[in-house]
Amino acid sequence: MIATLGTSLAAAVVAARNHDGDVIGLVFNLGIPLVLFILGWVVGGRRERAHLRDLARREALNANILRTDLRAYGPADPTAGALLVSAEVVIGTDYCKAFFAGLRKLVGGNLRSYETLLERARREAILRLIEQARSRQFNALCCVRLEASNVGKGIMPMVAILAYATAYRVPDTATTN
Amino acid sequence: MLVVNTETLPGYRIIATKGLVQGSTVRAKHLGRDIAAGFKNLVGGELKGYTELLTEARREALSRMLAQAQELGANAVLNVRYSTSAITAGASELFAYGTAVTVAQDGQA
Repeated sequence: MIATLGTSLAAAVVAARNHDGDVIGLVFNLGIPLVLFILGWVVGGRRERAHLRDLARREALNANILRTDLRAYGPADPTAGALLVSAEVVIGTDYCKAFFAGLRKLVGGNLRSYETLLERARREAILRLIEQARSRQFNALCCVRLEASNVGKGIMPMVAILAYATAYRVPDTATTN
Repeated sequence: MLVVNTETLPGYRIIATKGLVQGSTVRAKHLGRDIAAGFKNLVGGELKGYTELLTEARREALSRMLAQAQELGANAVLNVRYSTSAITAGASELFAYGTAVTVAQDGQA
């Protein structure tokens, strides 16, 4: 990302110095990355905020579902049985974030944009697990496991999260009152 | 066939342990999806093509594992785990493994 922007800037400077009058070249070399950057910033930012709102809404709906990464069930309804549920999601970042991450890499430190990307993907995967469990009349998850891998190339990571857990039924405490 | 990723099943007892069963798939990305994903990556968000690819791979690996368990005469697979590894650029393996057992409901022989 930095390399392409850098070479376009360099090419633009060289063209201007040589008085090539090659305005079209300048427009292409500088314009395309700039357009992509703005596109990533505006549209990407909007999509991310919409996704985060959607995640918050679904998490509020499913807040009463117990989820643990314990291998033990705790109180479980033996007649309801248990089932392996799995969910996967692949989320990519946008051009603007990738550009800033590239800058950050030069000085080191937290890559905050990638941290939020992974967090979004994990929240989405776990919510899909819960929704699957709910659709089969289970109300608890145990032994939640998450696997992450990168399916993108170079500086544009596309993170693939595979989440799996065992769904089971916790006896409703309301009926025991 | 009961499948869980814990070591026990609520309401069931293990009668016999058959052994380790496994299933794996190696999937490569479709070129069209790759290019489309490249464009989608400019604005970010979920890449549904890849998600479906991963889902198919997972179902396939799981069904191969269950077929092995069936051959052993088991009626449940416990402690299922998944593992992924990138074989080459653009292809990745999804590996599922677990322990095949015979279970019976508590309170029965």
